[in-house]
Amino acid sequence: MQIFPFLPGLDHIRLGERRKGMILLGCFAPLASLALWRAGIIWESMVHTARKITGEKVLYSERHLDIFIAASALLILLAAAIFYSWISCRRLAKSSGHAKRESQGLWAVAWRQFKKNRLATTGASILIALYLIAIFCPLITAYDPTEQGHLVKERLLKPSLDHLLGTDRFSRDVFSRILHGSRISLLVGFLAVGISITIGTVYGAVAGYFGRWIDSILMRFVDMMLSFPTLILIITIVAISKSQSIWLIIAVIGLTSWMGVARLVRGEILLLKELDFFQASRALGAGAFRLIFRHLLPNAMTPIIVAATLRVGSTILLEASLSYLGLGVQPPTPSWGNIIYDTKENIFTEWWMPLSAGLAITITVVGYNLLGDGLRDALDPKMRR
Amino acid sequence: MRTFILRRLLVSAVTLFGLLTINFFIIHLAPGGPLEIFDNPDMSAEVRKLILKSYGLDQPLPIQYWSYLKSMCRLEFGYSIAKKRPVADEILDTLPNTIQLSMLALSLELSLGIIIGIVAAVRQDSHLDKTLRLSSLTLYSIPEFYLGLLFLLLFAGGVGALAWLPPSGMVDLVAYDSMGFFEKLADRILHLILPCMTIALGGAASISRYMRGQLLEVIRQDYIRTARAKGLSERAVIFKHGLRNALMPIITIIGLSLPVVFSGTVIVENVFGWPGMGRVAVDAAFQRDYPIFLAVNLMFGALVVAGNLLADILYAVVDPRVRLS
Repeated sequence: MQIFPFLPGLDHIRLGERRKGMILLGCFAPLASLALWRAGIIWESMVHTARKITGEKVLYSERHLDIFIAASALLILLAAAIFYSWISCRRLAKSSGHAKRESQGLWAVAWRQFKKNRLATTGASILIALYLIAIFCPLITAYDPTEQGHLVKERLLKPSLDHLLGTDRFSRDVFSRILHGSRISLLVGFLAVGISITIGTVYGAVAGYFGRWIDSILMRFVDMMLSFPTLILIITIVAISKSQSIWLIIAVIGLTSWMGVARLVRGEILLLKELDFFQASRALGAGAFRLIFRHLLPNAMTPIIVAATLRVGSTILLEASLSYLGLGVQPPTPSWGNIIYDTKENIFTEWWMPLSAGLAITITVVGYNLLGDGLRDALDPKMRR
Repeated sequence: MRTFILRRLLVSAVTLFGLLTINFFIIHLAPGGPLEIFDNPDMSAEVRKLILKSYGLDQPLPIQYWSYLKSMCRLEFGYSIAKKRPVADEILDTLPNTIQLSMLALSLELSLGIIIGIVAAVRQDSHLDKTLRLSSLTLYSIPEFYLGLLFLLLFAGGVGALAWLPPSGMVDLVAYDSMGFFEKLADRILHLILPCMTIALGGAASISRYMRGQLLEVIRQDYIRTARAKGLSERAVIFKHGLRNALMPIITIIGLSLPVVFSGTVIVENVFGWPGMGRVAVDAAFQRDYPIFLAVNLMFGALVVAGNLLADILYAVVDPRVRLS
């Protein structure tokens, strides 16, 4: 029975699922208030887009598209939350207290362990909040991050209600730049780690599976790559390539940071190769491809996932350092690193600008590190007591 | 022992050769090639040919590679395009400064990390342990350049008008020449504090985590129980029996953390205006002065290889089991 269908979570709390209800309500309330607060902008954006689609000649910039995507995502998410809460409440009311015993697979057990780990859940909530901010930043702040205001009247303003963190020397709103910078950092972190994990996993699996001279040659190459300080190697590659687009930065970071994963996966594969199940499937005549991708890698997934999570943090640090040196993401596209690069001359006077951008980086990386540590504890059966 | 060292030397030589090769191909496979810096739409075909010829770039790739290897073996790094002086001079000027900063930072990092790790392990699960773990997690999540800026703000003339420490450089540019020996020493140390701390803190955090894990692992072993059972004091058990065995794997960590320390040095040199190789490399990157960052790349690579070699040999000295396998 639903009493508050439009406030997800309240019914869960009423029906005794306090924790779930609090989480649902905690996610729903800020998003709903954001939607109410920016109802005008959302409505305007919908109308504007509708006019564009019907073929009227209106100005439609990337910024308009940005706002439209954020607005529709917000509405869809709110609808999904209400729908989910409705379904799950109905099931809850039906079962009414008869707790069903579900089978406990690896993921179910891991999820229970994960929920118990306070640090890990803190990390996860930080990251969820960050991703929500990254999606909805055009709605949270009304300023365009790259638009320059009046060059005299609006230059280097102190923080105020209008500009929460003031404006920089190009009269751009710093708060808006920092919010939009989250997109770059999260994008770079996610994609670059995707590249490096894929390469590292395949490379390590091949080296570990085939062994002998293939292994020695492949691992010698890993040692060589590890001997370059990554930052210097990336600076070299970025400096000699023609353009410094964000995709180049992502590719270069991805291509220069897979070595650790390769070593890790190789070690895991060497361990797994000794086990009986592997000998059995090999005796049954499975080919190399099938053995690696069906039998070995799925069993090595846990450390790979943990390493990937921790890597995202260090990749975000790497991108920030590169942008801080002025060799990463190029202005006017905001990234946390180049915001600090832009404002470091003002550090003794307008210190809040570099300070808050750096705080954003630190919080993000702390989030990923907490999550990674928590995942390791939750997924590793050997750590369980 | 001698065969072990010889084998490690051979491996290092192969690694160095690999570094040279990777370096060469990065430059030559890049779009635009090494002559990008001279590129000019108004340039006539003959001038282009002349430049190509004067740099030996009209030769086939294998021959270029061979002459590149020869000149590297003679430590001839070529001529800097932007600075108009031999790259070797530039490197010689800055390499000692970089080594000074990074080695001091490394030793600070090690000692801090080990001490914090021991404290956390001995007081396992106490409030102190939890605080230390949380703060080390935060510390290695902070980017080095941000920590550096924070230090600048706090200790070198920021909000509170505290100007305890010099914000940049290696020595006091004005007064250094007129100082006595001890004043000079003090001035250098003052200039070292902030950059060193900035590099060391992040690394110390991860070493302390590792050290804590190692010591806890060792403390669970049977020989520690034996030591306790025969009535040794807790201090003797931890420091004489536990610590020695827990410290051994740290030697490997020194080798592994060298590239990280050098990456940190590159950033910190730029934050604090330290006249080292990292700053030269970043300046050269803006000017596309590729002979410089090729040489810097190679120098850092060689330092890492040498460090790893030393760590391996040291490990073999401490732990005889390694030599036999």
